[in-house]
Amino acid sequence: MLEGLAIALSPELLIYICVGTVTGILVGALPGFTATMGTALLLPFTFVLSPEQGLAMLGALYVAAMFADAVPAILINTPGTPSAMATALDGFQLTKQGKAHTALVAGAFSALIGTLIGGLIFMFVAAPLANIALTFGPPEFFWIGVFAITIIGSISGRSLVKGIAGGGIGMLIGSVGLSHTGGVERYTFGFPELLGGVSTTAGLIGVFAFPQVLNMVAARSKEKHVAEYHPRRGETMAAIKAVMSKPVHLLRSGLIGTFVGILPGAGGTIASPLSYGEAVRWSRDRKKFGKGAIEGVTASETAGNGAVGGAMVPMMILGVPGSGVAAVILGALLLQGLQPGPSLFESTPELTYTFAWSVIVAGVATAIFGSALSRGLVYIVRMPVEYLAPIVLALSIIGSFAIRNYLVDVYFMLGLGIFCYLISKIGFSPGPIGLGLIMAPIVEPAFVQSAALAEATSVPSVFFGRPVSIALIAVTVASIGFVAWTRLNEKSGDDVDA
Amino acid sequence: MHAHRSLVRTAAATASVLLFAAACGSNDSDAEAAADSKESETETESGNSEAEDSKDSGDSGEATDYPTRNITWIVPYSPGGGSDAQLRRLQSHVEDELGVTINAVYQTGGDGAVGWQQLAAAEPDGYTIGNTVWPNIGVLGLQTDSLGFDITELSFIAWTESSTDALVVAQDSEYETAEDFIEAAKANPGEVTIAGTGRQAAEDIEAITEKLGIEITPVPVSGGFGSMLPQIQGGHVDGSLTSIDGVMRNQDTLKALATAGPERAAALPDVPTFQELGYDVNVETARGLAAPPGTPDEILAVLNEAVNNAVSQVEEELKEGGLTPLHQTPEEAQEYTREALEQLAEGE
Repeated sequence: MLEGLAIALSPELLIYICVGTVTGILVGALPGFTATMGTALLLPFTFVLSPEQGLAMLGALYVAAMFADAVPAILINTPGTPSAMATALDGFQLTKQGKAHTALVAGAFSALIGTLIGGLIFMFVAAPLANIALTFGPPEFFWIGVFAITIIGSISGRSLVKGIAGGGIGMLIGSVGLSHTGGVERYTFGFPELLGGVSTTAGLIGVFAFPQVLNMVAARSKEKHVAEYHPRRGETMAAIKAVMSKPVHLLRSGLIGTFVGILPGAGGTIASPLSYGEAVRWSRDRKKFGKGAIEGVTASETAGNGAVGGAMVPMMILGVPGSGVAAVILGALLLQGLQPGPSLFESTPELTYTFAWSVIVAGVATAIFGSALSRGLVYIVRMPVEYLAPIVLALSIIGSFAIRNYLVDVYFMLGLGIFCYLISKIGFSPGPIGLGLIMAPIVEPAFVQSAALAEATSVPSVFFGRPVSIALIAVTVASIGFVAWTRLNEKSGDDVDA
Repeated sequence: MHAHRSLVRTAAATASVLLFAAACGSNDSDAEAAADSKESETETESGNSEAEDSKDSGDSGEATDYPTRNITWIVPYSPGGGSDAQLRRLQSHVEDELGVTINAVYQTGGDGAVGWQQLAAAEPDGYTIGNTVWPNIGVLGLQTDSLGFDITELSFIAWTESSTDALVVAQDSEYETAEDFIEAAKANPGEVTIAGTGRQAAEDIEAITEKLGIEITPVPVSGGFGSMLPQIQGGHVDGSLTSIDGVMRNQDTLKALATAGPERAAALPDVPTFQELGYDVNVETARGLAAPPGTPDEILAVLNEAVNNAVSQVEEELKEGGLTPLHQTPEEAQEYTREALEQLAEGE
C-alpha cells in the first residue's frame, strides 16, 4: 500500500499530477466549464501514458476542479461548477466583508482535508463501502433527494415560504425538456430547441451570476467595486488556523462528502449542499450561516473534495462510475484495455492504491497552487464595477455556451437571470432555486423508477419497507422537525425581544 | 455621465459577446482548444497537399481540397458512454486518414435530440459530423414535428458497428438460464422487473416480452447503461434488456442469459439466442456517422473511405466488445436508415 505513495511521488507521476492540477484549476474556476468537460479534454492524452500516469492526471484534474469552482463562487457569487453552489452562500458574504482571501485559502485547505479523508477511506475501506453503495436503489435515491431538499429550510433566509417556492421554481425549471424517464415532453411549448432541457450549469449561472451583474450595474453609483480588500500580514496562516480549529466539523463534512460520493450518480453536487445543511444543523450559532460564516465555505468544500475519493470507490471496485467525471475516467481505463471491477482490483490492487495516493498528492498540490493563485485573484474584487460587470457578463455568456456549444443555454441563462434578479427584489434568495434545479434530475427519475418497482410489488414495501430507506426517512423527518423547531424558536425569540 | 457610460459599456459588451458566440457557434468549438495541440495543425497555404495525402486520389476527377482544417465531431451523449466509446475507437485512425484533427463536442439532452438537431443545422461543408445511434435516432425520427427535422435527410456517411440486445442479470442472480427467468415471470405476472434505457425504454422492453409471452414491469432508467449498472448489480431490478457491449465491459458482475439476434454473438458463444429457445425475437442496434443534409457527394466519399479504413483497423476490438463491424457506402447507409425507420414505424 505504501509503495503506491512512493510511486505517486515519483517524477514520472508527479509531473502528470501537476498538469492535471493546473488544468483542473483552470477548468473549475471558469464558470460553465465543468470537471467532466475538462476530463474529456485530457482523455486523448492518456492514450500514450501508462494507466498509473493517466489516472494520476485525470484524478488530479478532478481534485483541483472541485476546489477551483469555489474561486468564482467566493469572488463573484458564481459557482464554477454546480458543486460550489453552497460555497457561494457564505463565501461571497465573506468577500463583501473584505475577507475574500481568507475565504479562498480556507477553501483550498478544506479541499485538501476533504481529499485526504476521501482518499484514505478509498484505500482502507473501499470494498465494504462499495457493497453498501449497491444497496442504494431508486427508493433510497428518492429519499436522499427529499432529504437534500429539506436543506432548503436552512438556507431560506427570512422567509421559509419563499424558500420553498424558490425550490419549487428551481425544480420546475429543471423539468423542462424530455422527461428523464419515458420520453414525455414538458414545457417545450412546441420548440424543438427545448427538447434538451436546460443544462444545470447554465441554469446556475443564470441564478447566481447574472443577477450579480445586474446588481452591480444597478448599484454602480453607490458601490464602486464588489468589495474592499486590504492584504494583512499573516492572513493565510490565520485562515488555515481557522479551518483546523474545527476538526469535528471537518471530519463530518469529509465523511458526508465521501459517502455521498460513493453513491453512483450523486457526487459533489449533492454532497456539498448536504454537508452545508448538516453544518448548520450542528452549529451552536446557526444564525451566522448565510452571512459570512467560514464554516459554510469549509463544509461545502471539504465535502465536495471528499466526494472525489468517494466516486472512485464504486469505479475501481465495481466498475460503476460514481459521477460524470468518474465515467470519463472509467472510459480512459477501458481504452487502456483495463476493465475496472472486482477482478482488476483483486489482480492488481497496486493500481488502485497508486491512484488513491495520486489523488491525495493532488490535494496537496491543489492547496499549494490554489493558495498561491488566490493571492493575486483576490484583487478581482477591487476592480471597478464598470470593468468587472462586463467581464462577469461575458464569462456568463461564454460559460453557458461552452457547456454544449448550444445557444439555447445562453438564452435560458439570460432569461432565468433576469427573472431571478426581479424576484430577488421581493425576497427570494438564489440558494433554494439553485438547489431545486440541482435536485430535479436526481429526485424525479428516482421517484419514477421507484413507482415502477412499486407496481411490481407494492407501494409500502418499496417506499417504506427497505432498511436503508427507513433510515433516510427518519433522518428526513428529523431534518424537517429541526427546521420547524428553529423557526418557531426564532419567532418566540422575536416576540420576547419585541 | 459616469453612470451612463457603464450601462452603455455593459450593453455593448453583451451585444458583442452574443454576436461572437452566434458566429462561432455553428462551426468548430473553440472550447476544445486542448485537443488541437495533440497533433500539429496541417493547414497550409495551398491546401492541396491534404487531398494528395489522403487515399482518395481524385475518383471523381475533381481535385477536392477537403479537408483543409479541423473537423468537429458532435457526440449527442455524455462522455463515458457508448457513443463516446465509438468516437475514441475511431478518432485517431480517422485523423490519420484525413490528416486533420477531429474536435469532439458533447451536446447532450433530449436523448440525442440536441446533438442531432445541431448536426442537422450545421453547414454541409464536411467540417461537422456526428455519431448516429439506432434505434435512438429512429425513435426521434418518428416524431419529426417535435424534433424539427427529418432524419432521412441527413447525409449518412456509414453505419460502422452493429450489435444486439441481451437479457442481462447480475452474476449472483438466482436466474441461471433464460428459461428460469421466463418461467418466474410467467408464474408471477407483473412482479418481475426489467430495466431499460432510452426514450422508449418501456415500449422496447414490452416489444420483446410480448414475444416471450410474459408480463413484467418495465423500469425506465435515464442516463445510459452506466446508470443502470448499479441497479442490476444491487439486485434492485431482476434483469435488464440492453446492448451486449455493456455486458462485455462488465463480465465480472453481469451475465447474459440470452441474446436477441439471429445468431449467437461472437463474443458470447455460450449464450443462446432467443430464437434458439423458440421465441421470434430479432433486435438490431447500430452506431454510425452522419453529416448535415446536403453534404456534397465528393466530401461524403472522402469521409466514407476514411471511416471504413478506420473501422478495419479496430475490427478485433469491436468483436471483443460484442460489436459487429460494418462496412457500407453512403448509399447503403442511407438505405439501411430508410428500411430501419420503416420497420420501426410498422412496429408502432
